[in-house]
Amino acid sequence: MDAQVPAVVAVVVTTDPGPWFEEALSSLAAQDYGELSVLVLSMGADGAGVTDRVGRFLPDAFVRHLDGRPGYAAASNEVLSMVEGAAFFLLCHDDVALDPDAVHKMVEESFRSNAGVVSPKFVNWDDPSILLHVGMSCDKTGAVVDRIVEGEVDHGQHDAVRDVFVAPGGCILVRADLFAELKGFDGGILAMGEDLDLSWRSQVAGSRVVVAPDARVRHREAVAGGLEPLAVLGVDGGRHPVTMQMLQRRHELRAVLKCYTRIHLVRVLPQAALLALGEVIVAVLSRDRDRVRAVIGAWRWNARRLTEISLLRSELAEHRLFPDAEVRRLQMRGSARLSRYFSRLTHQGLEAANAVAVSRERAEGHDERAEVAVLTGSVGSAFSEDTDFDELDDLGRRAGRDRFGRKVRSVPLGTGRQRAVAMVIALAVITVGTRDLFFGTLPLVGQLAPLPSWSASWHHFFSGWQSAGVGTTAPASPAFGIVGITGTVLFGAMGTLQRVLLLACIPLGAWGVSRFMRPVVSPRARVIAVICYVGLPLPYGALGTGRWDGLVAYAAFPFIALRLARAARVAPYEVEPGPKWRSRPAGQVASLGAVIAVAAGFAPAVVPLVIVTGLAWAVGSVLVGSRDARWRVLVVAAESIGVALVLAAPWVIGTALAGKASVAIFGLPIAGANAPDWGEVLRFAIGPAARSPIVWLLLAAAALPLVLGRGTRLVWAARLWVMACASWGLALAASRGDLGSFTPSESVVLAPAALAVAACVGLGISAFENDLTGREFGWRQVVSVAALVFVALGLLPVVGGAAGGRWELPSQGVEQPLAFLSHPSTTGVTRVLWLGDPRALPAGGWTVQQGLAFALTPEGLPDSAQVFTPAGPGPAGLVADAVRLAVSGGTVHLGRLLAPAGVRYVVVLDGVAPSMVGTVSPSVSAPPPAGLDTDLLEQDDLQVVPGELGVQVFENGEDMPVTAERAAALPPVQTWSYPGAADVAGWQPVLSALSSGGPATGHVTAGTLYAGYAPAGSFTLSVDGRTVPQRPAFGWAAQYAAVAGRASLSLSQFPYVPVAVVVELGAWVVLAAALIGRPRRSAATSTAGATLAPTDEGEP
Amino acid sequence: MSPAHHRPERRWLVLVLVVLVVVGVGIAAGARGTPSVSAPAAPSALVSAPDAESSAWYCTGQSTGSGLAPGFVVLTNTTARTVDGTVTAVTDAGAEVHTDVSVPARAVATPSIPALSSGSWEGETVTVSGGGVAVTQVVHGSSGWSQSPCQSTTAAEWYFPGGTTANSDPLYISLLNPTSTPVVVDLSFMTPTGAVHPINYQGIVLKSGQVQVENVASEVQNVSTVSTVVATRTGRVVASEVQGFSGSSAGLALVPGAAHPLSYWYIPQSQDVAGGSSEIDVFNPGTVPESVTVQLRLASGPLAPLSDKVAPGATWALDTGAQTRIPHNATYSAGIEATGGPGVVVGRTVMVPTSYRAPQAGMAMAVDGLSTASPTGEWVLPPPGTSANPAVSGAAPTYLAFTNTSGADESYTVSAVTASGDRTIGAGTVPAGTTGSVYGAALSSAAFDEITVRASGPMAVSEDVGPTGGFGVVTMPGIPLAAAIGL
Repeated sequence: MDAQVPAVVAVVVTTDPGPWFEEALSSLAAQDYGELSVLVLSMGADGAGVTDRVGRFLPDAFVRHLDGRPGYAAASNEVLSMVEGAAFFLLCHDDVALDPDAVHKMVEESFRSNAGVVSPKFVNWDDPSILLHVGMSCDKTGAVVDRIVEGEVDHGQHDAVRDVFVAPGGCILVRADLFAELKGFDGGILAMGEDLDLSWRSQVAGSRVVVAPDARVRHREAVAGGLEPLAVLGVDGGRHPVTMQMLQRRHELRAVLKCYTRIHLVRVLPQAALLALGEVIVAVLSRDRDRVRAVIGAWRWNARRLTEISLLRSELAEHRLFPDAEVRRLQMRGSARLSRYFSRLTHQGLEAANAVAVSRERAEGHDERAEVAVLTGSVGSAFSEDTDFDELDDLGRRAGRDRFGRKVRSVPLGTGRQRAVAMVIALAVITVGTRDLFFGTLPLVGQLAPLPSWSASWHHFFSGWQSAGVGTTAPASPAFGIVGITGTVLFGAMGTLQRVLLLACIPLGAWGVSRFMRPVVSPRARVIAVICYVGLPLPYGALGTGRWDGLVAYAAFPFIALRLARAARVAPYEVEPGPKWRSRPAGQVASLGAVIAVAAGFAPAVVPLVIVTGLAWAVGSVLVGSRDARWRVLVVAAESIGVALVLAAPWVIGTALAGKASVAIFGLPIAGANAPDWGEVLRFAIGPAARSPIVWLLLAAAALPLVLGRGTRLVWAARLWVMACASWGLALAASRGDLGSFTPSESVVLAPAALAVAACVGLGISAFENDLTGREFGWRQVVSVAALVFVALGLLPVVGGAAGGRWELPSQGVEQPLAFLSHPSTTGVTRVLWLGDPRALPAGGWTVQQGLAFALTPEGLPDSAQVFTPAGPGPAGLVADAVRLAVSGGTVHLGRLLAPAGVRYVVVLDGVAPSMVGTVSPSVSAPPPAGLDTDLLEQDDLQVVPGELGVQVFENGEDMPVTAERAAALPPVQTWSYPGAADVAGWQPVLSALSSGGPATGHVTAGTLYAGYAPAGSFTLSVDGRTVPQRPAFGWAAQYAAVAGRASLSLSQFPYVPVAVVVELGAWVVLAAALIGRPRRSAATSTAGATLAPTDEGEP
Repeated sequence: MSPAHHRPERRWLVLVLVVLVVVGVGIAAGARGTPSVSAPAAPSALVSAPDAESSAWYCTGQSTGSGLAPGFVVLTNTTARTVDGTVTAVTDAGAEVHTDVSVPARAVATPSIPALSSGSWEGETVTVSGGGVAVTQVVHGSSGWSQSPCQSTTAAEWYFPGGTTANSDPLYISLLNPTSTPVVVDLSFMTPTGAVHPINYQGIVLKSGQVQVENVASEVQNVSTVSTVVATRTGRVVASEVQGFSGSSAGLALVPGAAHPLSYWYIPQSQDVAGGSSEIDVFNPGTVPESVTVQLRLASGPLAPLSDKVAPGATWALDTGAQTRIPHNATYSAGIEATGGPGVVVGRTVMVPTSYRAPQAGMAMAVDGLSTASPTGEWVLPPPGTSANPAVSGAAPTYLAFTNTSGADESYTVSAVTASGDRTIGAGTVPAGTTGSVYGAALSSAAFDEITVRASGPMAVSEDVGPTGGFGVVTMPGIPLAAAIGL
């Protein structure tokens, strides 16, 4: 080597080095670069030992022992005060071993490229054929991305010299003047990210950062790889151990804050904040608490150091040669972290994308190196799985051609990017299709009544009395608890909550299908199955007719199926019992039960569907000859339902107490004439949107796995097809009234069929990929291609339906013609009787007869508190009897019969939406039974309210206020009965409405006070503080011989329901703790080595 | 490896099963058909169920005072308990009066309604606190008398197949709106020369409770056969036709409208006498032609049927007296069947020679197919008033006939209902398609008692009431009794 070469000082920072240290030293000793001197900066306790070890290989090396553990960056900066005259510094970890010619090739490249910073090619310590890094890049938020695939074999494919944004920190050759000008590494960075910071600042200062692949370095990555703890003093993680992920995120943000100008920060910082927020939300949902702490902690940590960062930015500004725009051109476009997330999502599913799988493996001690993916975060490991990198040439451009220059024909959806694009397109179609629903006003159609306030939801959930019908003490649906919780989280933004809950069902269902399909099909088939699921008309039919229950069932059923398969250990869904309870059989059943309980709160018919699914899978197994978990599925289904029933025990008990009427909780019978026909059921055309027969093609495509599939795919196809047939048959039979009073909503019952069709399409793709291997060209290939075409065509109706922006949901509901109901009544507290097809009622109701249901609500337009009603109507059953009398010609005094219930208005709904404003297809218009209007017109005490188009409103000419007074008493009838003409005459309104929380109050005169609230025995009337004796009225209501004074009617009973609900909540908390709970610690699974030093030493 | 992999034949088992289910259920569902969307039609006169909470009847067509057809209503209680009710009478001038009435068990009452202060025509709404009560009305004027059931339902359309304005015969359409909603009504008339839509009878507005009577003769003059359509634009009404016969054969007819065109109609008994005339009017109110066949049957056997194609909006006036195949003075029954559309409306007009006892002319609806199917297998035949308040002096049932409309023999029992119990006045079996009858002393002994016909199958029940000049002058159809509601 020529003596004229520039001097290079190798700076090796070491802390209690391991046995590899000698190999690292010997590699430096073996360098063919003549002007290389070595400075070893030793931290840690074994100073003398380090000196001896260095002396054995590098007798001329200078060793300096540093006090404490200042960190790699601060230690390296010591070279600035210790060395003069060097042209280059080679900043090395103590676990790198350089090839003998590495230094001189890096120096050569520095001169050749006029680079200020040169990075070598990093290869695996133990297996040099495996690449670690060939330079790195980063995005605008500082997220670092590697250029290679994890485990990528070095074939020379990255051996071109190129500019990179980040020179990885294990070994960096930096020009000494540049290093001095930049004042070295950022001393505030104790570990992780110092390489990003230095590289960034170098480029700001006008220096190139290049990678010289000819210079090869073996790197053990002892710390970043999690093999050795990084013992650095003075880091604060708060109550939790500091992870390297935390440090990485802190320092990335620090670099961003420091290296951009203020003006550029105004643009970038909000984007970074938004991405961080999204990442936190996803991490919260996926229970990745480490990530949550890391992201939030990064912002908090930097916020506390803004002054210091500002100073550093000012210092950097003095050396700035390149504006931010120039620097940005060297960075990646978009968000590396977001790209990595979607890449992982499409490649490995959600858990992997959230690194939950990795952390779980870590927790279970299966893979010590798994920590890397989590802790190093942006250091490439996750993103490197993106096969897109295979298509990048050395200049980072997608060549799309093979090494012979021929254009490469890629398989459709063969790459993660293509799959991601497909999912984005599907998401875009859904977004476009629902745009009006999210930003517009939701009409009062079906179950789309406005949600009650968050506090009212809570109160309703805990309340011992509901206003449903004429009142009941039955416990409320758990749905109110869920709404209360989510409403509280959203600070009472119930309108937003309603949209989120409604519209999230579709992507949630898609996510469920993705998870359900992951064990059995390829990523491509999974994506197609997901797209197929969101391309079925079912959820849009439910949305177009305002059915909460259908949407919830659609969202929940894939998860139910997945957990059922896991709990029953059906191949390939077996879950190895781990240290956490939720991975054990009991935990799996409990988990499934919890999902069922949540779904059943909104869609009770989900419960029997679980049994139907279990039965269908068992039958499918028998048919196809599989013995795998054949009957265990049924047992697990029954067990999980038992868990669900326990978790919703108060509501379940209240429902069971309704006796025969309890079956109404699953749904009310619609008229056979209005029921969908078999073809409509098969193609999920239950709503106004996407009713085209083209959807048949999806069903045809779903038959592919039955034709082609083998092994597991055939078995699952059989199970799913039997499930679909059961679902379809059940929907048809229920809608036509063939199952007696068990008439679950078809939009709920069809959810399993939708899952089956989508999953079978995915299985068909998988069969095409796997089961045609080795077969000659023939009908199977033709059928396969036809199926693919069918899938593409079958999705068109939904794509077309998206154009409207609201899936044909009418723009206005009954709130328009019935706006007058919102005005306060001048005749006292009254009620509204709603009559119509069960699908048309804007509130939960009960059956009058097949195709005719009724709901009784307080005067005014209903809200969601009236949507989820108890199974039995209680004394409101008299209302049904009265209506039945009227429609059978048994009375001409319906108004009088309704009077004790306080009915002032009878509203007959002529369809899902008023026909004058609706655009609902006649096939789903859900009219009331023919002749109902006639029967009501012939009632001599019902007067038509003129001018209400779209609905028929009658005003009761003989109405009584719910609370009223008059002089004469009523006959004290003990059994439910109707009033005579004299019984309803002369009543005057007296008390205010019985609000959800407080009593009904008002001044009364001496006489009889009537209270039409049930159960009468649960109420007490007091006048001027004295309790007034109660007597029965009409067998269910109460009358009181009141004296003049201030009266108060209030609920007075032991709070059975609140106590039961509290117990119920306790059960949920216990279950949640058990399911989420930490695994049992053991020595083998301890993660202590992955965390940094104790935090009790305060911040630096 | 899955067992299925070793046994590929199972694949076809699943495939076959899936195809069977999908196709089989589709075929089965298609074969079963879809239930009708429309409400089942009910007779316009139906005695409500005995356990009904309340019921109402609507009567219209009576005139006040010395008008063409003054009359009264008759309440027949078929139940074993006393029933209270209210009769609200209102005139076309708006006068209104309420009269409470109590009908003892298994008895008949004719409430005395105070004279109304103004108006020429009146209608009554009878509201009863319970069911099982039949309400009929009797009119009697200078030219004759008539008895007919009131209507237990309102309708948006009413059809009247017969009527005449020839010979200056008065013909009126009486409209009553018993509902709480104003209605707008159009009247149209079908004549042999075409349809007439008088401008004065278009857009007639009837307020709640209003009665209005329109004179057909003022718009359609000197037409031998006038068929009438009453159609509401909004709401529902009750309509009746009042026909006076002022020619050589005098008579008065009060004809309740038919709410539905139907495919089957029956005339259980008829007789053509020498010198008289009898006409069956078959009116097609639909929009498609109807192929109509009139099956005639003497006691000795069936006759060759008569048939015609009736155009939309046209009336086939079948002059049975001119049919040589029908012997004079022979009692026969007729069944009218229409095919090709929703059906027809059928009525009958009878005139006997002036030599017969007055009244000699009458008009009535045939028994519609809906009324042949009584939910209880029981038909009520209210008497022509009470002994204290008869329709006319000597009024009594003279001939009761019932045609078995089923395809099998049916048994029957005819009873006179009295406060002390039922008294059987006839029983037996009626072969399929034939007509049974009760007459003579056995029937006339019922006098002013309610008569019920109980049968094991569907029957078209009709009763001739005297004194009149002959069959068909005053007829009273059997009113089917609704089944118990059971609530």
